Amino acid sequence: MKIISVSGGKGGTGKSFVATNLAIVLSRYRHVTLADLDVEGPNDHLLLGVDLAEEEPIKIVNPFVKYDDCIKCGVCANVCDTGAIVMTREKLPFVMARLCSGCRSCVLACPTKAILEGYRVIGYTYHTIVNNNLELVTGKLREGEEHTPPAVREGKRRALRYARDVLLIDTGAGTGSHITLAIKDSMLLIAVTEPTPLGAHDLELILEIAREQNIPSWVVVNKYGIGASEKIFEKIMSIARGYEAEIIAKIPYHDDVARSIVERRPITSKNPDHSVSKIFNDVAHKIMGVI
Amino acid sequence: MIIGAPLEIVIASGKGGTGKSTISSSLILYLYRKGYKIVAADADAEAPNLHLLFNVSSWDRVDEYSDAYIAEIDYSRCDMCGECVKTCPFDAIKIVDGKYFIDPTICEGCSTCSLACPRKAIRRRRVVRGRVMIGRTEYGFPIVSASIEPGRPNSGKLVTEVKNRAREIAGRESIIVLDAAAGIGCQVISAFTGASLAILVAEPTPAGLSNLIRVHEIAKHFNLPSALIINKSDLDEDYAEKIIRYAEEENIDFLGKIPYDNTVPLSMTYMRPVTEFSPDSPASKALMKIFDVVEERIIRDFDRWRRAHKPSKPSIYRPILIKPGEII
Amino acid sequence: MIKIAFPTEKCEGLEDAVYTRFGRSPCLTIITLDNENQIKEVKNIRNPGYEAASGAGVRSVQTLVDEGVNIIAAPSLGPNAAVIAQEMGIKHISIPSGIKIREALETVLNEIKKEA
Repeated sequence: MKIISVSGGKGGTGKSFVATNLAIVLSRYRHVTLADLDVEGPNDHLLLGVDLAEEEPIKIVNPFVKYDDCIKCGVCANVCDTGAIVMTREKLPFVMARLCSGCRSCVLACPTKAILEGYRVIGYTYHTIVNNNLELVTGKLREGEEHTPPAVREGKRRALRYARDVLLIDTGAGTGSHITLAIKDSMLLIAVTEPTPLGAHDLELILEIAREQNIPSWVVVNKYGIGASEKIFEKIMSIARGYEAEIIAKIPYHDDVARSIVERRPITSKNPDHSVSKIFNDVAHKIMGVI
Repeated sequence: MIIGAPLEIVIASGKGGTGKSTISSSLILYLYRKGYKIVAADADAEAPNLHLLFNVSSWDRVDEYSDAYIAEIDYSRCDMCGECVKTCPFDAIKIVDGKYFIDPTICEGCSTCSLACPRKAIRRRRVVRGRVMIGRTEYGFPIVSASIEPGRPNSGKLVTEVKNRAREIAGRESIIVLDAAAGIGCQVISAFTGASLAILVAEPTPAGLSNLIRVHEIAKHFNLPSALIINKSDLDEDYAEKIIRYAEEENIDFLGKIPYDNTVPLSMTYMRPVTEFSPDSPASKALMKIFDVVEERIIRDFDRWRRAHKPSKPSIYRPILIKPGEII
Repeated sequence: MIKIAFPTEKCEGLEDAVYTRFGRSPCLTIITLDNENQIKEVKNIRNPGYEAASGAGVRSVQTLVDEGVNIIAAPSLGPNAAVIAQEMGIKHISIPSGIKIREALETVLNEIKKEA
């Protein structure tokens, strides 16, 4: 089973567009599990035109204080990294669930073992069958919850349950630790960028993360043709060279692509002979060559 | 005018690539030219981009930010019992070259492993996670930005630092314009904390609407009055209408639409806000009209606008808790 | 006896100005009133929430709980601080930002009298 990640750093470059279309083409040759780990705002189901199904909760540890055993020492509040434990006037610990990251320091630190472990549901994972050879696993954070890493971890874990030949991971935007978690253990990273200074800037960040994790990278330049693409493309080429990353595709900015997104029908499905679809065929073949 | 403390405007969007930086940069320049004291602030420490649009290539001041911790193993005391691996809530510990290794790119610096270690072999130490940078643009106003080492956690803390610095630089009558990160994660929450108002940017697509709803929910939690700009509106005018209707229902001040315009990415290439680079382009004209509205309606009489656009109550955050021993 | 906390900017007590944001104010000024509503003590402390990343307002409230404060007088409280203050039985009275503490105190006393 091979893991391939699709990431990009900058939001809006078209990661999900690339990931979903790539998943569709790859699924013609191998079984593909697509993991949408953009847990703050997963979009792949919207792009694919399918519904989220088979909801399962994502739980993290939430402390509960057994007040009978509490000796009011305040160690739990001191040790708490996120300020989630507040001491009342009577010197009793009060837990603010939303701030708790589930690290369990308070449980371990309490001298009388007065803090018990319960759970809090911070989001859900979903599993949708897209076609015979393509399954979508989605991770989604609940409104008001902000701890992204556990949701990414759980989404990935669930996707691994269904993964057979290929696990394709669509990460979120950004370059924080939730991205590192998502791409860990991949054999290949596909970095999606756009030919603007902002896209080039973020490409470097994502290639740096991949290098730190010893993951080889390929680069896809999306929305080619906007702005002064050739000028920035030179910059992108030199960045890619610096990381030994091959630029494997230039996807032109095309009205048909925008339309396919609005219609919720991936272009490789709706129009497999379109020039953009042919580019995805080429990318898929290149991937098949290395897995 | 504005009393008490700087007016803080957050430009946010639930989704990436909607045009926040494009709009922020042009708004900042517009207000500056109208004579307001402005501080530009980039509230995205993971992918800071705002300075690129002002052609800022060097900083007057760079401060390393080291209010973060990671755990480290003292190998002379470690007996490979594996307790740390079992208790680490973030799966940050693995075996490398026969020894336990705490991955600094994942470790969040909580004390759990050091508390669990029976040999007391784990210590926390301060690390440099990122930097906060302050510079002056060629136009004359200051810009505060930050960057976190790629892959590290807790970028939200850096955004808080950016806001603190911006407030230090800004005088009583200044306006701080914050270009928030995409999404609704901790960076965005830090950006919204204590702001005066939010200008939300949405694209007219299904994802655009659902992400707008999510980010507006955050604004409601902070009781922020909000305004809305629809960018790349000609992608789908019907969807644009849907989004305007949502804004009406939610008492969000709809400011205007901006059509898709290729001079926007072009202006980026030349490191200038689009209204500066191509003032006659469709996007620039639409932006200037919207900014006139911002200045007249929102800034000139902020107290009145704020009261007129009080957000509805947010859905109350109710944590879903499972008590110890409870089976779901 | 009543203890009222105000978010302030420069730790200068009665002549200081009310800061806009409670959880992020550099300073917290705590005024103790005796049973005749006369000022007994003015205390200025650094606000731990100023530098905190998450849970800033909560940390500020924690400090006020430890100081025995009954009322927080501030323009607004963030969502976390509001919940905690309520749980801890600390009342929130809204006052405008930018005015002097001396003036703000009058506003608070009027509010308290109204509710009595």
